[in-house]
Amino acid sequence: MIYNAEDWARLRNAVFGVSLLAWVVILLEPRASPCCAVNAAGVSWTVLLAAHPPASLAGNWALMLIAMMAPMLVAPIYHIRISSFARRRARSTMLFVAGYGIVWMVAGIVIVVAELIAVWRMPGSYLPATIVGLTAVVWQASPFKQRCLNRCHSHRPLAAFGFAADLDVFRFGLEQGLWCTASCWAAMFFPMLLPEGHFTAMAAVAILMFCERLDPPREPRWRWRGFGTAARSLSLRLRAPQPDPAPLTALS
Amino acid sequence: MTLPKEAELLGTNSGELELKGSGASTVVKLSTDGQRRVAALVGGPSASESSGFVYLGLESVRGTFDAAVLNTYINLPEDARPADHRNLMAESVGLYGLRRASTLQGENESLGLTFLLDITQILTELLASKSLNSGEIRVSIVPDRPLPDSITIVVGRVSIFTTSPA
Repeated sequence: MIYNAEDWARLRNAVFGVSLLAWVVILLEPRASPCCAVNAAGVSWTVLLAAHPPASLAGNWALMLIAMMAPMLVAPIYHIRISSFARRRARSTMLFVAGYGIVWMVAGIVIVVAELIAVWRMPGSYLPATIVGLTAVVWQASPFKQRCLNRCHSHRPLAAFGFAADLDVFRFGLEQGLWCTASCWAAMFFPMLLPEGHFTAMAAVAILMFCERLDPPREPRWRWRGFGTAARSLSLRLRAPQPDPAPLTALS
Repeated sequence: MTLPKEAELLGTNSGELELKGSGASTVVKLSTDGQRRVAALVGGPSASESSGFVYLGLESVRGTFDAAVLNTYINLPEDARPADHRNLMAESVGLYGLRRASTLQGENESLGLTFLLDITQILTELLASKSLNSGEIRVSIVPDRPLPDSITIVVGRVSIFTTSPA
């Protein structure tokens, strides 16, 4: 439970690097570029499924998750690092990521199938994206979203020894994945339905989701949320350079 | 000032610890590496110029009773009167803000309070007097005054960390 700024910075840079790599692959790799954006103009359902095999869709979904979600995992992974024995850190982190990823991959089945149906029924239409976009805006301001965000901030003590430690950290991954999915499902779904501008919308949503995690837990109620802490931090940094935080402080 | 390197976990207890009445005890089990590190940090041949610190962590302390002070003891014998073993007392912590930290902050599953206590000196002394079991350290948490019957304070995890200077 001891926070060290240098250790945090190393972890943050590594995780951001993984995310950046995924963004570069999405941008440069022709097969990954559609990244869950489906083209269904004038084709039958069978042809649509043949053109987008499950393995390809799962791969694209996973790539999108790595790009968009990895930056939000810095805090929980750091919690695992400082709560685990040094020799178990890598293993615990992998188990956490596995738990987190499983939840998002299961959610991906629902979201991608919904996307296929929407795009197949209304190819090239902005209507599905508009409906989901409006839903995302309402969800973004709702107290239910705040409840999910608050749960994402919850980092409980973890077991340190043996199978209990493995199980605990995997469960922690499942919990984080569950609340993260509940928080972000609508925002993640929106870019996938856009006939154009898919990549730009993905990047915008990723920035929003990262910034909203910087806000501390709050009382759930209707309010606009997303950029409060990020804007204040940016404003302070623009006014005057801020000294680095104390290198060693207790986390509570 | 030499800034410490990253902290490293040396051992933990096995689960949540409930404090009622006159307190409770738990055993912090050290990992194999943790045992070696504790011995090296606090009892090695160069202990007088010890280069590291050992901390006791009381993590995620939760409850609704702010008006308590908890005294922490290292290797306090079972059934012993804490007052007779002041030399085993690590530190005292006041639970100011416990209720606020433990109530649902926006429905958040609360984190409670976390305390870090320097136990380097006491471990050094216990090791020198050969009163320290290398694999396990008994931690007793005793309220300054007995807690009211209806009150329970929960310590999420009791752990032992080390830091060494850069």
